[in-house]
Amino acid sequence: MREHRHAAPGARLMSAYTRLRAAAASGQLRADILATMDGLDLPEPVRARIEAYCERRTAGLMNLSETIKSPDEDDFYRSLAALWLELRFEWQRHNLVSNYIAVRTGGCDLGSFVLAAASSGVLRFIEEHLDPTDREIMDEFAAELIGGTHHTLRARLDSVPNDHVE
Amino acid sequence: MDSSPHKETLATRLELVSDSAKLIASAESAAAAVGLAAADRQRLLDNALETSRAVRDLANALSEPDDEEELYRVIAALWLQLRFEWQRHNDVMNYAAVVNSPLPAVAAEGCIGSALLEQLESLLLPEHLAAMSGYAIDLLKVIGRGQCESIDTPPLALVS
Repeated sequence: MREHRHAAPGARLMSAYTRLRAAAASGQLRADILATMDGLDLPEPVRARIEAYCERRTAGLMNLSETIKSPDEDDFYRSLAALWLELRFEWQRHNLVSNYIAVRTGGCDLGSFVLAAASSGVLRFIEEHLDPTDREIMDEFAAELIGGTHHTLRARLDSVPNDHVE
Repeated sequence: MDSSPHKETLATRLELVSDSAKLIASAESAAAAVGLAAADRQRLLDNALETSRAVRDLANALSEPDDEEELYRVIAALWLQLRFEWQRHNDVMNYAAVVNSPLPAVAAEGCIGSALLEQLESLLLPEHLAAMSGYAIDLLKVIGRGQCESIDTPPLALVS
């Protein structure tokens, strides 16, 4: 796994850095997210919330990619990983709220539903630039935190293959 | 957790945290402190309202007594999410300062994030906050290309 990650780290990070900057500048992220909602007859207030969400996330990516000028540095990859975690928690929370309301009322809270979809869209956009093993570790951490599985972080790290950890 | 019937429920306390008036006041104060332009100020206020709404939706969705354990964990995850967001804003501001290109809108977002984090912290046990912070920092050390350091943290039991 370490071999995979370090095969061409500079090229991968440059690709992530370049693509994120381009997406932030071109509106591609917004277009991708809204495309997932094609066919949904969203009331105007809900659509406005999604547009605002897209704008906020796009601005966040633009700031991140424009101020960190050296994409070869570890900081950029870790910032991207931290942003993925941030989005993962956000997605999980919206999903949970949506599910609880569905179970309680039999209805759909459209706001939470589409925000979950939107955050999922940003997650997908970012995660292709992260090492799959890193994503798996972070995914487990997020799921176990909310799922309530009691564990020690040391135990999980001990289970990570040695060739993944420097 | 104390289940006294006379004690405010966790959901009720979370709803107080979601008070939009307080968040809007924080946003207005932050906008004034950094001298935001009108459009950026409005965006900041809109974001604060959206955050308030999201927290309130959470409190309302998991408002039953049986939900309290899960609600606690979701609040913990929300705290961690906002902590990461605050750190991201901080990193961006630091880099921008180095190149002498300040970002007042990001600084204002950071102020609101701090205010909300402080309120959420009042709902969580200090040892859990410390454990989560430690886990997150150590996790990112492993994820990044840094060294994997020895970790010596207690089990994360979110509900005692």
